[in-house]
Amino acid sequence: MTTSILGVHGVGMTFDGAGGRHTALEDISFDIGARDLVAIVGESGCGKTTLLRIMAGLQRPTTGDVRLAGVPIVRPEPQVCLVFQHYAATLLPWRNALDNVLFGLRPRGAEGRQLRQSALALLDRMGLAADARRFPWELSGGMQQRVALARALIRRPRVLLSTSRSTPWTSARARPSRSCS
Amino acid sequence: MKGSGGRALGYGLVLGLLLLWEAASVTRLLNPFYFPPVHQVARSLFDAALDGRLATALLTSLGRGFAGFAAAAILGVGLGALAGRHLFVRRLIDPIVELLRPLPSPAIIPVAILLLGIDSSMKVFIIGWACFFPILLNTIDGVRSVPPALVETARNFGLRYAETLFTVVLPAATPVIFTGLRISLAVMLILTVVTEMVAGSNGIGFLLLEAERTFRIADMYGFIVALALVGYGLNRVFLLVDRRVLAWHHAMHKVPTP
Repeated sequence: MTTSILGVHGVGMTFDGAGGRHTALEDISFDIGARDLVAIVGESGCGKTTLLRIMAGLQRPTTGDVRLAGVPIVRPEPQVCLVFQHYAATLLPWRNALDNVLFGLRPRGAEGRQLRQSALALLDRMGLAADARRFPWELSGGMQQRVALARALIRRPRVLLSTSRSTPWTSARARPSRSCS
Repeated sequence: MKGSGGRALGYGLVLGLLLLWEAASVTRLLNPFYFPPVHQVARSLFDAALDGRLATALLTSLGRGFAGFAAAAILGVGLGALAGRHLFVRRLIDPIVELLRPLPSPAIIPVAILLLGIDSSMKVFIIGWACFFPILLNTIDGVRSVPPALVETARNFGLRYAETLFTVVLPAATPVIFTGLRISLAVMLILTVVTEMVAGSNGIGFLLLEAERTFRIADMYGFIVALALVGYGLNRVFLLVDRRVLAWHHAMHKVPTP
């Protein structure tokens, strides 16, 4: 077991709804090390996405905490990238595939040129070199998913989370970049 | 092809009706005092255009109209974005909006005259008031309809509140916001004319009413035609902006899902 990069410690989550208090997660603990590939399996509605949202800092747990390299995550953490299952709804329809990959990175100047090159290289690795200028709605579901993945990978996250039931990682054209720990 | 044929026929129908009006007026089938022949209306309009009366009046009116429209757009989109994002703000403004929205805007003209007088500021206020609600409500709807996953992704990537609002939420809501802007553009023209008719000494609404009161009936029709053309032109310009700004939105709904 390598050193823990992301540690989930005693995480619990309860929601107060119209039907009373609902416990989604209870005392979840595990560690993820560098280059670990972890699958969280469970039936629909058992709290997998809630757990991933907590791990990415998008939601605070009711109990316990999540630590990135020992530091508690208390706000959205760009180092822990989440690729949503509804990837099509996370791509900006007014930006082409390349600009979607660069979303939020402010590619300006020399650094910007380098970023654009990296984005193009990533799209190329995803088999989307010819589709960089196409808009998300001009791409198939699988292609949109790969754009969403490229957008996460270009940020070189230390942890990549995916709520997708079937990621395109197994495809020979779309291996996860080494930058993903 | 069928569509363009229909359109040509539609313009032909307008031309036919104008010719019918001209013939009925010249032959006195219609009382030419109330319905002066079309050529006289055209000449009145042409004269008003030549001596600068029309341009001055239109510039004054559109200046007021756009001042009110711009204020309504800034406030409506600003408050609508906040209300769309935050339930608290929505609940806070909802009772006031629901009480004031159904109120016909001309009903507050007396209040506005009392407080602001009969000058441009009163007119701009009334126009802004009337334009505000369609923009506000459409912005709230548009912002609320933005897919939560889009906002979550922006948060996950570390974008700040304002950055998320301006680069994700508002662009995604633009198609619905534009619906509100388009409604308000029509409202703007209506209220510009109404306020100028109620109070004031310039603008196209004032000229129109003055022509009627001094029995210059051909002038009156001329100004009505000018207003119709302005309304048509404004809508065309808006559609051009819409096609440009929302090119992605229109293209998206044309492309069959691959």
